[in-house]
Amino acid sequence: MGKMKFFVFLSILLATCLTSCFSDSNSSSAISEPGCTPDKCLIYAVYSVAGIGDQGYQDLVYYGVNKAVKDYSVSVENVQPYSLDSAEKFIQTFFDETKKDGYKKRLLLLSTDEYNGLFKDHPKWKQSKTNSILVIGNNRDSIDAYAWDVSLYGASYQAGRTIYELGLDSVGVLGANSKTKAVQDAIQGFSDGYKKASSRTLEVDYGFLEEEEGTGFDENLAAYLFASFVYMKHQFDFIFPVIGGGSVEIYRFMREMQDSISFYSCGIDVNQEHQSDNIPFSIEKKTDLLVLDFVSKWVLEEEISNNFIGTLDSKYADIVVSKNYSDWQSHFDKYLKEAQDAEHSYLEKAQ
Amino acid sequence: MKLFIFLFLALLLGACSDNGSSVNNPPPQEVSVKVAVILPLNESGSIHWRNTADWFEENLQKAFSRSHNSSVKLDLEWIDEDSSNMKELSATLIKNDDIKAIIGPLKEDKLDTLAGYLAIANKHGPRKTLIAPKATDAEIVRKFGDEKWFFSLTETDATLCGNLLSSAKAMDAKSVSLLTSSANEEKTFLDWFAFQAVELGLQINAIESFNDTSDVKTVAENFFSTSQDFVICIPANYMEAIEILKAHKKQKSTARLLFSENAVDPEILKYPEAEGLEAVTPGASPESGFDIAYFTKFDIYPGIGSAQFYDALMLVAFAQTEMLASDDSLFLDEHIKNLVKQNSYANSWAWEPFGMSGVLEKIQKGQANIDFSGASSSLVFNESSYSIISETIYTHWIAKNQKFYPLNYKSAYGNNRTNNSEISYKWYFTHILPQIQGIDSTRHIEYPPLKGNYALLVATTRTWGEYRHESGVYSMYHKLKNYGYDDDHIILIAEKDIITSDYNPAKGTWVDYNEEQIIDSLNADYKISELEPQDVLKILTGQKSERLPHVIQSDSTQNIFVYWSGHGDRGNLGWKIGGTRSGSFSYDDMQTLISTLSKEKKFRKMLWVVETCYSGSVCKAFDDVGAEGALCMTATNENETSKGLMYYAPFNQYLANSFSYNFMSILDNSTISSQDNYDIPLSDMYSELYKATLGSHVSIYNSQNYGNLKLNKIGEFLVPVQ
Repeated sequence: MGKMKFFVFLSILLATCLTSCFSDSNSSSAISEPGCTPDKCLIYAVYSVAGIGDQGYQDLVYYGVNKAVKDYSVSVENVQPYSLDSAEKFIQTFFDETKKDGYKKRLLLLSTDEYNGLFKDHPKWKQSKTNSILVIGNNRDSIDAYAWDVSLYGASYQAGRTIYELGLDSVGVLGANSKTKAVQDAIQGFSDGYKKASSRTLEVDYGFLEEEEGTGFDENLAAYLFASFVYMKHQFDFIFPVIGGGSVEIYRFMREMQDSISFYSCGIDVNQEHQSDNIPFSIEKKTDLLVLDFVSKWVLEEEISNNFIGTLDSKYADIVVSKNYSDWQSHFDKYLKEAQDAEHSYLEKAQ
Repeated sequence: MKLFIFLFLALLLGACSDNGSSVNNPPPQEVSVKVAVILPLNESGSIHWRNTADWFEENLQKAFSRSHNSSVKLDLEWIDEDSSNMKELSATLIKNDDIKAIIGPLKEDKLDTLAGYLAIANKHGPRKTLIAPKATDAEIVRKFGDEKWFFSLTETDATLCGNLLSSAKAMDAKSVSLLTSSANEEKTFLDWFAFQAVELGLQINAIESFNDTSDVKTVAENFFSTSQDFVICIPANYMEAIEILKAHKKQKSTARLLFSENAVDPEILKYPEAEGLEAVTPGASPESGFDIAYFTKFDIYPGIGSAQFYDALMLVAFAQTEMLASDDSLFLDEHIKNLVKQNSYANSWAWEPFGMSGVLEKIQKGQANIDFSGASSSLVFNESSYSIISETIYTHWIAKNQKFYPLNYKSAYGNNRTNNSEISYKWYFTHILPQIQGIDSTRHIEYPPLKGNYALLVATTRTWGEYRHESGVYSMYHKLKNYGYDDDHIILIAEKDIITSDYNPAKGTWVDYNEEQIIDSLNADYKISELEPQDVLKILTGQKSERLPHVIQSDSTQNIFVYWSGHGDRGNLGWKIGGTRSGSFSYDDMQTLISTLSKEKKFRKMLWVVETCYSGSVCKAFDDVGAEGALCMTATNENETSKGLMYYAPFNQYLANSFSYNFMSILDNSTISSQDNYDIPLSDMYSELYKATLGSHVSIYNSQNYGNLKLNKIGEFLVPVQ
């Protein structure tokens, strides 16, 4: 078989590979929905700045949007800004084209809450009978929008609780920044779980790649250098990476140095067990499922919660144990209920 | 009342308009452009090409519908490249004036044929644009990369080879080996492996090739019976990859393996040996989201090349749109260049309808500085011709649990989603080269006064297909004559058949490395077909005979210059390859020759300039003999091939090889004119050649026994003593 056959087979191959990265959804065939046809309903999806291609969170949202478009017979305009300014212009375009484009139902889907601040300068950016707004993330600025998110507190708690029991007692945490709520939740959950097990406070002093909110998620080089620096200086047993797409660089470091290092890490947002033999589990954040569920309600005109947080309990977050570490499953199972309860308490307090 | 009626009508009209969005409103005017698409359509994966084309057309029309301006539609004529005679097809396409652009084919030999025809046809008639979604053969890109109408959307296998090696380097490899198929389509790896390994500071352990699936097992088992550190594996198909993996396991080798794209085949996942296999392949940009969007739309993932095909269609549509908007007389390829010239590595999504509509609007308004990215890459092209894509995204795969997963992505320059795989040439020149070559600039050797010069010029090949070797020697002959040599002091060995060839449209002439046509005035002493390799020794030692009436009668006061151009393999300089493969001048022959000439004091100084593949493997004899005053410069080191340059479409031939072209160009730019002005220190000549010759490492031998290369100049070989 030559190069040509390679072309032929790669589709099958990629299908096997990448479907496993996305959450299960039993919607392989299009759902005929009389309430929406492509000429009536539009999803206008604006992704985070340079977000697509992270092999994680943003790709999951992108997948969820495209899947929803297919399943619910709606039109889509996918918009990838490369700066906050261009994002602002793109969002303005959504409002400017209201009614002009002829759609009866229009959904502005923001794949990140990093654009919430822009709403302050645009008082006309509001929902209407025609226009709905969904922010994937937190609605701390109280903008006129649905805010749906997935909390990783519970799954991270379960991870922290379990790895200590498994003997990984020297742990470093790396966050994209200290101000993004999703990062705070995950790190807090991991720290609380670990602390519960070890009676120690986790050190995270040097663990942030950037200072500003919403940044540090695509710092590939920094992540790589951090991995090497941390390993050389502290020789942690385990690194917990809450750095978005940059986490693949931690894994690359682990692969490239596999003959001389031996620390563990975990997949984040999606299953990353293929990245290294030293990834015993992954924390999944099923934002694709979140998008599909929201769009389903939007299309069917069901009641939609203004604020919704998917949790470990509701299966929007989960821990997937890698194949070679199947004997760890029972340890994680042991702390599932405790983690779910801890997450409920945490979220209640936050409210 | 009137107001009521007006409002009623307005409401009614508004309601009517709600029945359909602008998506359904046909644009004011639609202009069609005919494009021939030549791709493998009978294979099971051919659905990807149709899917991609349909999807592109859908997105294009959506994009146009946003602007409500005149739109462009691509009228595709599908042609199966596997069931087409490419010569006949090329002739048919050239005659078809309706076809403005051709996309494909994928197979290198077919692309080469089509491009060869277009190279001639496009010089005379309206130009057709050729876009190759995946021209990975470096030879094709070298031949057609400067043509105005040629575009390639994937970097060549030379870049993939560099990626594989930089991965090895990153994985802490100390030495690397190449185990490769000798299939023609994989030859780029053989050409570039050694060069790039040296560039990266990697020691080369072994280079081994196998013919096909029948002998890969034996070759691989022998290969892994020796100690290996890191092995780059280039199978022609997945079965060969399996045999390599089995041999690796059988020999209990600890070598780390990294494969090229043919190993990434779902069939290989059925074999337990494939667990953990890693490979690097060209792919789509992760930042474009193309793979994910394709999957959600078609429930399968795209084949490799789909993103490049999508971009090819997009480039044609954009260019045609600009052509309509500007209403000028430029060709389609010129409009493509106009557009891509403005692209940067900063991303700007243009392959989805929303981004595409923005680009189309700017084009229609005649705006400058439109910067757009495609599905496969940022669509930045080389600055010299804007025809070869500058950055391909490569995916590093791993097989785990019977699935393939992408580990990471690499590109030439890297960004927030891809790693930088650029090889640091500058660093190499400034830090490593001086150490490796060890040019001795201090040692001084006393030579007797120069009293005369001789030159031996040898073209060891014949036939039209080896044009560059003969023409190179003829160019050198002319240079020497211009510098003052007479024919009594030049021995010219060449077949001269390119001058009389039926392929030559102007018999009695030949074309030099600068495309200058020259009337034959060459005074050849021998045809290569009349001599045997051992005759070189006889000629240089002055052993005149009835069969060899022209020899060099030199002594220790005369300089000898030898320019040799032809083929070579490891340990041999070829003899009469081209038409007949009939012999070689080996390392041992070279060793004997230098020893003999030195012992018999047949030269004061002797400089060999050797233009063949693997020339270092023979000319290292200069080092091993260590004869005082003997120096050699070669086109390549021991493990490399030399590369053709100056493709001349009317002949479908190269006019020179890279090393020789640079050698002569440096002379052209020098002021060599007389004994008083020998110009160009040998050290400068060497370093200039080293920097200018791409694809091989120009090497120098026996400099330690020659004297100060900064003080010794090239001119004392080229300008004869009067």
